[in-house]
Formats: sequence, C-alpha cells, structure tokens
Amino acid sequence: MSRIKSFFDKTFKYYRRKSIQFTISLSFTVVAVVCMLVMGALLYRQFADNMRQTIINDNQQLVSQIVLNINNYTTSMRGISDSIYYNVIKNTDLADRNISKEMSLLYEANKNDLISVACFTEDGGLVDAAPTTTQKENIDVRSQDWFVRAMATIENSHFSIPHVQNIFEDSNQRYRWVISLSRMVELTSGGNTSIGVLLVDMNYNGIETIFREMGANSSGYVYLIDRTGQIIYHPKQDLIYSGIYKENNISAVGYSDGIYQENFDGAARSVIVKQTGYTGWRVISVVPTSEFTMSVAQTRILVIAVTGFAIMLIIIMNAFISSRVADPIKKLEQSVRDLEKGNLALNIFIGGPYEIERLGKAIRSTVDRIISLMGDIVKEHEQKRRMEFDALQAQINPHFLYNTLDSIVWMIESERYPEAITMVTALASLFRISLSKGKNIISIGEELKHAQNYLHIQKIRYKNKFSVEINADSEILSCGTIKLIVQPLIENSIYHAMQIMDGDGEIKINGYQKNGGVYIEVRDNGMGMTQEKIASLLEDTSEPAPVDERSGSGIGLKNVHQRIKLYYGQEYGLEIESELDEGTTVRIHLPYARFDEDA
Amino acid sequence: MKKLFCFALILSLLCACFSSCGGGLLERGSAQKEILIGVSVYDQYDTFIGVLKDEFGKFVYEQRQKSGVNISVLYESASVNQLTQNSQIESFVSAGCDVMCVNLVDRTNATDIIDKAKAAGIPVVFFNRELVPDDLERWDRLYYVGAPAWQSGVIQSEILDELCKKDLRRIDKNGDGVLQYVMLEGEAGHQDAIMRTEGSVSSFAEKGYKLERLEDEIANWTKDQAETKMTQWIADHGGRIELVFSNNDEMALGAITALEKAGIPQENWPVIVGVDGTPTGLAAIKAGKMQGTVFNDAKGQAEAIFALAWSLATAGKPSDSIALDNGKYIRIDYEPVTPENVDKYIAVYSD
Amino acid sequence: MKKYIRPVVFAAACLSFIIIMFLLTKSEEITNRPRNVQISVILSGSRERWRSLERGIYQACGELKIEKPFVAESDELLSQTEQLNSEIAKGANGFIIFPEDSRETSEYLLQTGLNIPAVIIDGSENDSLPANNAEMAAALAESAAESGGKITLLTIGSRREDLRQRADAFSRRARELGAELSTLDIGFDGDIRGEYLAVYFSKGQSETVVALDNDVLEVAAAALPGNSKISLYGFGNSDKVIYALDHGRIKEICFQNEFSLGYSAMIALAEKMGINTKEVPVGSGDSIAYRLISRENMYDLETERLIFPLMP
Repeated sequence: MSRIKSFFDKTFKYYRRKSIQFTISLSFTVVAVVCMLVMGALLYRQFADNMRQTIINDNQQLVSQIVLNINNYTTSMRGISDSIYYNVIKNTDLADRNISKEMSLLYEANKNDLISVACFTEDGGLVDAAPTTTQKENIDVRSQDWFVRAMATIENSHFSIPHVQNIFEDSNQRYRWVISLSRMVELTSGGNTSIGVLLVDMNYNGIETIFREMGANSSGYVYLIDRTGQIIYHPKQDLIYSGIYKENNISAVGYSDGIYQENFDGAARSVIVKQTGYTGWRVISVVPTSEFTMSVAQTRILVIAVTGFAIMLIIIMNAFISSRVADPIKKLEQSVRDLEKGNLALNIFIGGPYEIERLGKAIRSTVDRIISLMGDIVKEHEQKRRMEFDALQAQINPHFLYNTLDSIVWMIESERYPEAITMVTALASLFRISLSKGKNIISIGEELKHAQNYLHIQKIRYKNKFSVEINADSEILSCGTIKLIVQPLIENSIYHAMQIMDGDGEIKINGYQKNGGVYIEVRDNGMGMTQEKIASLLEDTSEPAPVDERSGSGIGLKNVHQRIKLYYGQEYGLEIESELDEGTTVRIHLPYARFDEDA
Repeated sequence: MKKLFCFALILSLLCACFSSCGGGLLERGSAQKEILIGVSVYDQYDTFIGVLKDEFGKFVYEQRQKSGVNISVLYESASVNQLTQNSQIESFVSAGCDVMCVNLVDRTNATDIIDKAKAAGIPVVFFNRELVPDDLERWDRLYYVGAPAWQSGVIQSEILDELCKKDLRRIDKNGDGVLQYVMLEGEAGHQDAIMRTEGSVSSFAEKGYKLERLEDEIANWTKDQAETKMTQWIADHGGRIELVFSNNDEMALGAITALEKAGIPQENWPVIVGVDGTPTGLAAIKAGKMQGTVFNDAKGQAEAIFALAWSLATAGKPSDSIALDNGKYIRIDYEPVTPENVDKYIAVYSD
Repeated sequence: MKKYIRPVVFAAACLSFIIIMFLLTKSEEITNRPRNVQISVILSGSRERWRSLERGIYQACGELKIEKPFVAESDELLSQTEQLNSEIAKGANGFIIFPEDSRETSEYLLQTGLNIPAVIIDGSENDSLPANNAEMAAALAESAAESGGKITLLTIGSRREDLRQRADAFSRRARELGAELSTLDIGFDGDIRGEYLAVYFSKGQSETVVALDNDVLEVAAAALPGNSKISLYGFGNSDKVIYALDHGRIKEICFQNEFSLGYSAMIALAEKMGINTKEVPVGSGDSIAYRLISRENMYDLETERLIFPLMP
C-alpha cells in the first residue's frame, strides 16, 4: 500500500516538475483521447446494436415471407386434395366409371407443383392415378409411411417429410423427391362404401425453390423442419446427410415462435423461429453472430480510422495550442532568467496571449522602475558626494579663514596671547572635526564639540555680542549623525539674527531624545523670518543649495536639510519655527542611531 | 515544402478512391484463342435432346480440329424447372460465355433469360422449343433454330395419306368410312404440340378423309404417361381405335407398350405415327410396330446451332453463309420416315 | 529538430488515414468477391454418372466462396492427357482428376513441371479421401461370400488404380472367407463387351457375379436375361445401377458416397492451392463414406438421401 502511495507521490512530483507545455499537452491529450475513445466506443456500440437489430428484423421479415409462401403452397396442395376428394371421389361410384379423366385434369392443371395424384384402396390396390398408372413390381404401399399415417388418423390430412417416390414406374430411370400429402377417403363402389387413401405427391422442388430464392438474401441461412425436428430443407442438407455438417435442428423443436440466442458447435448465433400453419413445420433462420461482426467489421475499421485520425489531429492541435500558450511563457521565462543574470538592458519578450503580454509589460515596467530607482540611487549618491564635497569645500571657506586668521593676527599683535592660543586651537579643532579623517558619520558629541569650537571663535570675534547655551542629553551624545549640521545653523543664527543684537543675543542649543528620534534645536532671539522664507529655505529642489558666500561656512540651511534627508530619509531634516522680531528655532530631527566607531 | 506535401496528400487520396472503383472480372484466356459456349437443355431425359447434344458435341470437336481454337462447352440440364434454367444462365454469364444456346423449359417465360443476356451482351441461340415472336424481337441478338412444327403435322398426314391410299380398308377396321383416332399430345401450351396436333389432323382432313376423334390427351412427351393413357383408352374403346397420332416417338412407344401389355395381336393394332425419328422410334418402325414417323433432323439442327453459335462467338454476328428467316430463324425441314426408307435414317445414327 | 516534428506527425496521421481507407475499400472487395481460382475437373465416363461427385465439389466451392469449376467429361475424341493439356492452356490452376490410367496421369502431371496442384480421386494418392477402396471391397466381399458358392469377378483389364486396389482387397477377403473365386475378363481395348457377358449369363448358372466398377455393373445388369438366378454384386452409383437395383437385377451394391468424395477432394485441393479452409465444415469420423445397399434398404430414409440426388 505504502509502495503504491510512494509511487503516486513520485509520479505527481515528476508531473508537477514538468514544463507547462508538457502539462497542458498531456492533460488535453489525455482528456481528448479518453473522450474520443469513449465516444467512439459508444457510437460503435450503438451502431453495432442497430446493425444487429436491422439484420434480425430483416430476417424476421424474411422468415414471415417464407412462412407465407409455404402456407400458400401447402394450402393449395390441400386444396387439390380436397378437390379430388370432394368433387371427384365422393361423387363417383367406381363400379360405374373411373375417375382417370378428372385426375388427369387436376394433375395437368397443377403439374408444376405435383408429381402425381393417386387413390388406393385399403388393401393397397390402385384405384386410379395421374399421370401414369404403371406401378413398380413388388410394391406394397400399405407399408409406406404416408399410407400408415393416413389410415391411423382419419380426420386429418398428413404431410410427410421429403422422400423418394416409390410407387410408379418410370422408364426414364428418373427418381422424384416428393412430399406426400395423404388422407383417408371414402370410396363408393356399387353402392358400398369402403375406405381408401388419397395420395397427392408434391414436387419437393416447390419447397426447395422457395428457400433457394428467398434464402439467398439473408445474411445467415434459413431452414425448415417438421414437427419432430426432421429436416425438410436445409441449404447444407447434403452435407448433413453425409455426416459432414451438424445442425441444431432437434433442439429447435422445443422453441416456440420468437428470437433466441443459442450456442451451437462453439459458435454463438441468433435464431428466429416461426411456425407454419396446419403442418406444424417450423421455419428457422440462423444468423451466426460472426455475421453481425463481419458486417460491422468495416464500420469498426472506419470508426477506428476516424477515431485514430481525430486523436492524431487532437494531439497536433494540442501541441500547437499548448505551444502557442507555452512558447511566450518560455520566452518570458528566458528573459527573466537573463534578467536574473543581471542583464538589465535586454529586451523583455512582449507577446503571446493577452495575459502573457500583460506579464511581459509588467516585468518590463518593473525592470524600468528598477533601472530608474537604481538611477535614483546613483543620483542620490552623486548628490551626497557633491554635497559632501560642497560641505567639505565650504568648510575651507576662504572668507571665514581669512577673517579668523585676521582675528588671530590682530590678537597676537595686541599681545592678547591666551585668546590667540584659544582661537588657533579652536580653529585647529574645527578643521580636525571638519575633516574627521574623511568619515561622514560622527557622534553627536563630536558634532556639538565642533559647534562649540565654532562658537568659541565666533564669540571672540563678535566680542560677546551674544550668549550661548548648550544642553544635550547624555544619551544622545553617543548617537550617530552626519557632520556639519549644527554649525551651519549656528552660523545662520549669528549672521541673520545676532548682527542686530547688542549683547542681548541668545543662542540656545538643545539636544534631546524624543519618540525614538534625536532632536537638536538651535534657538535664537533674533529678528525671525517670514513664513515664505521658511518655506523657501526648506524647499525641495534638486539643485544643491547654493553656497552663501556671506555666511561663514556658506552651506546654508538648505544644504543641511537636504543632506539630512538624503542620509536618513524624507521624514528627517530641519524644522523651522520663527516669529518675526521674536526669534527663530531651527530643529534638527535625526533618527536615534547609536554611533559605532568602527562602522 | 508544405505545398508539395499537400499535393502529394491529395494525389494519394485520389488514388485510393479510384482503386476501389476499378477491378473488373478477370477474362478467361485471351480474345480469340478461346471460345466458351453455354448450353442449357430443358431435360436430360428427353431422347431427342440427348441426340441433339451428342451431334452438337461432334461439330464442336470438328471445329476444334479445324481452327485450332480451344472451344469449351458448358452443358447444363434444367430438369424441367425454369428457375433452375434461369440460374444456369446466370452462371453462364458470370463464367464469361461468348454465346449461349438455350432450350427453354417454359417457352412463355423467356423474359428473365433475355434480360440477363441483353445486360451481359451475350447473344443467345434458342433451339427446339420456340419462343413467342414478340420475345425474340426484344433484342437483335436473339436467334432460334428449330424445325417448322406445322410441317411435321403435315408430313404425318402425308404418311397416313400414302398408307390409306394403299390399303384403306385394312385401316378402317369397322368400315364406316370414318377413321377413329386418338391423339397423344406432348404438352399443354407447347408450340410443337399444338402445331403437330392441329397440323396433322387438319391436313389429313383436307385430303378428303373423315376423322372422328375418340380421345385427345396430354402425355407430357413421356412413354409411361402415354402408356397409361393408351391403356385406359384400350379399356374404353377396345378395337375401335384405328389411328394413333402421337406428337413424338416416345409417346408412340408408350402406346405400343400398352398394346403389347393388353395382349392385342400386332395385326390388330391401329396405325401409329410419331415424330422425331429417334433411334428407338426407328427401331419400332423397323419392327413393324410403328408405321411412320417424321424425322427431326437432330444432326442438321445441331449443325445449324453450332454454325450460328460459332460465328456469333467469333465474329459477333451471323456469317453471311447462314441463311436466316427474318434475320432470326433457322428452320430445318422434317422428313418423312416409313418402313421403306427407315434404314437410311438408322444409318444416320450409327456414324 | 523540434521544428519538423509537427509536419512529420501530420504526415504520419494522413498517411495512416489513407491506408486505412484504402484497406477498407479493399477489404470489402476481398470479402465479397470470389477468389480468382480456375479449377478443372477431369472425369472418366459420362457426366451423368458423376452427378453426386459434382454436387459435392460445387458444395465445397460454395463453402469456400470460390468459382465453380469447369467439368470435362470423358470425350471419346480426346484422351485425358489431351484434356489436361487443353485445360492447362486455358489457364486452369487446380485439378481434380479421376484418371483412366493412374500412372500415366501422374507421370504427365510431373512432366509438365508446372506444379499445378491436383487431387486424384481414385484412391491412389490420397488415402484420406472417402472412401477407402480396400475397405469397401472387403465389405462387399463379405456380403458376396455369404451365399457361399462360386464368385466370378468381372475385370476389364483397366489400368485404373482404384480397380486394382478393389480387386486385390476383394480377392483377399473373399479367399479368407473361403469363397471360390474366379475372374472373367470382358474388357477389349478399353471397351466393355456386354455381348460376352450375355453369352455367359445365358448358360443359366446360379452363381455370384461381382463387378468392381460402375460401368461394368451397368453392362452386367443390362446383360442379365430375365428370370436369371445370378446374384449380381458390385460398385455402383449411377442412375442405371440404382434402377437395376430397384428392379431386382442387382442384389447389392457398395455405394461410395461420391458427394462426400467430391466435397473432400475439393477441400483438399483448396488446401493445396493455399486457400483458407478453416471456416469450412470438414468431415469428421462420423461422415458416411460408403454404404452397402440392397433392394430392401434402399428406400430407408438415410439411404435414400445418399443415393438419390436431392437437387437436380
């Protein structure tokens, strides 16, 4: 059992793994073949049955026809017998005259069907006969079957089975097969009555002709038996009498009228039986079943041929259709395979049925999207590089450098050496962080230190025009950030806000963690800016922010905002809140990401 | 490539169709090197027909030797059954006979045979049992060879006339100046029977004799039936019978047997005349039992039948040397046979 | 490679369809049309004598669905070998022969070298054809010897094999039964001389006379004078013989079932010619090969059916 199961499993697995074309082809073919075979078989069966029925019907008609003919024949024979008896014998006193003229007349009138008519006394003596009265020597008709039977049952006429007439002499040595119709008759002679036998010998030819003419048309054969099963006519009777052929005539006696199936001598056959009137003879039609099969054999060949051809056609059609479906899929699959190998520039196959085309188009558009996305990424990288480059470039802003160096020179000239030292140190530190060994991500702590250094320098330069406060949660100090984002904000604040302040200027820097994100605020109480200004500052343009030459680093808010967005995503960046004459808060929103030094 | 393929396909389909239509019967031998003649007689027991058949065979052999052509004859006997004869004709047709010679069982029922012959295009020479002229007219390749039946009756009357001229008194036993006769007829409706019956009696009467018919019955050309009839007549009329007309020799012999069995001495016998001149008939004449017969020239008829059949088979039409009545009939004359010239005719048969 | 599969398959389909249609139309012809075989039957004696044999042959032809053969009877003008010749020239491809001279005929057939299948039905070749000559002759001998007394065997100096076999078997069996056997030759140059017999019979002796051939028996029966006390036995099939038997002129005959002989001979010839005989009824052991028939039993139903041809 488990072996069968595992066999089925293996088959299914194998089946499933096969290509679409194979699957479609096979399924269609199997279904179609099964359908065709079933249909063919049913049609053939139907046809064979019809054929069989037709043959049986034909034979039934034939049998009826033959029975009719035999009835006519025997009736006319009985008519002759009756005529002779009632019109001739009964009305004649044999002592007065003989009946030879009447017998001759009746014989002549019927001589195609008759061999002879004869009348005998109960002692076997010949009363009269036609056409000839010459009897054979040593004949005693009393021992002959027809005589015995006629005397035995006086009320009926008796038909015998065919036999050779053994009464009259024929100098031509001719022997006649006859069917004897005999009856008891009353003879009158000199007023006295006695019994005798009237014999009408029918030409066997009559029966034989009926069967020969009609039996030739049937698809089996027809034969005739009497009440006891003895054969009266059979197309192969010579063979039967010589013992070469056997017929099932004895058991046919048991059949009443109808159609039967029987099995005789190893062959199956259909048998139709019909009785004739009066004589009790039976007409039997035999159709061997092989006759049915022979007549349908050709149709069978035709059905097989047509079925075979149809199956061929279906297989071809299946192959054709399935390939029409599967080929585009295959081509598409090939395209995808090429795609997998990384060949993005190829032509994806667009074609085949509607769905495949759709698929192809979808894949093409996906690939296009990928290409464009990849292009975007490349562009982004480009942008980042450029901005970094800008930032890097901007850091080395000559104006800021000149000014700061100027300040240092002035301080040295003024012999304000500690301030000069601080300034140089701050500047160095500033540049160190700016470069940060080429790294892009630094810790927030470092970024704020960089901002402090900057503020240091600017405070000295601006002679304490403003105050600075830096508050940062300790947790965020070890988070990562891109460099040069706080300093440009401070720079912005100083230039746009602190210029007009007279020592009241306040710049507060707050750093805190909120909602999983890191915020760094740069707040000033300067003159603020309009909403339009805010909007234009944060405007999303593909152009990198122009370098603002007037400011120290010159990068500008836009640059910072864009860079943050580039690095961390659209949801991060800058937020500006400002009120005119009140102040401006610029908030940096970064994701919370721990800074790993080795990353 | 596809076009060529389709073309080949159509061609082979056509071939398959045509081959099934073709295929006729194989012909037996080549055109003129072989002739097949089908002969069907109405009954093999008819003596005259038997003689005719033997003579025919001799002519066949002669022609075979002369021309070197292989002539085969299919002989069949219909045993007095027209249907049997019809199927024999059918078998002749399917055997591919070049010509058929038919001795009809039922002269009124020739339609089937004529139709079959016409459909197959095989000419037919009917003989001895004559068709109605209408039937013979149905196709221009039907012929008849026989003897003029009326003539045989006339010849019978001539023979009797001679006898009566010699010794009327002996013949007219009761001396009443009227010849009482009985007639044995061949067959109901038979051309020859009717003609002979009528012909003999009316011709004889024309010669000025008075006839009284005692009996006239059908004995179906057979000896036994004639014997039966004659026996009855002897019982009925005894010595009153002065003449026995018989449509053929066989029946005459039956009458003779009846007379013998009745024990009547030969000198009291009536005058008996028959027709045919069969060997047994001639023997009876020689023995004085019969007084005359009319010779039915079996040899002459056989010769005529064969000549006609031969030219039909080889040339397709009767040769010019054959004289045809109405383009269809060949009639061979009867000849009278009496005890004086009977030896001549006996010699004919011992060839 | 794949490109060609489709047209190839299509071609194969069409071809097979055509072939099947072709076979269909051909098969109809094959089953309906009788095969083209040309068989000739060469007989010795007149055709009437062989009617039962002919019917047996025709019956077999009907069963085998082949054309009926051409039957050539004894032609006083042509010898059997000449007949054979002419038949071969006409294209006969099978023969059934009853030879007048068995050796000559078989030599002739070998001579032609054409190897035409032929069945000889006088019992010389094929032992299986009914009936066995020796068996029949022995049975007849037993019947003839019953009366005791002298048996005269009529001979005609024939070169026929069947007569030789019958004569041998008859003589042997008769002698075994203690009968006194002598022979009388009435043949002269191939003719049967009835006159000698008539003379012999008129001597009025009471004895048993045996004829081993149908024609001899006919002649013997005809030569018997009225009221003869001679018991005539013999082999016979013809109408004349039956008539003579019916009228008491022949005491008993051994009747060879020639219908069965003809039928079996035809089947045997068909087999030799390569025709399929499987579906045809073939005689088994119960088939009747011969019968001893006397006046008493000739009208028995079974006997009647054998000796009187049913269909004309």
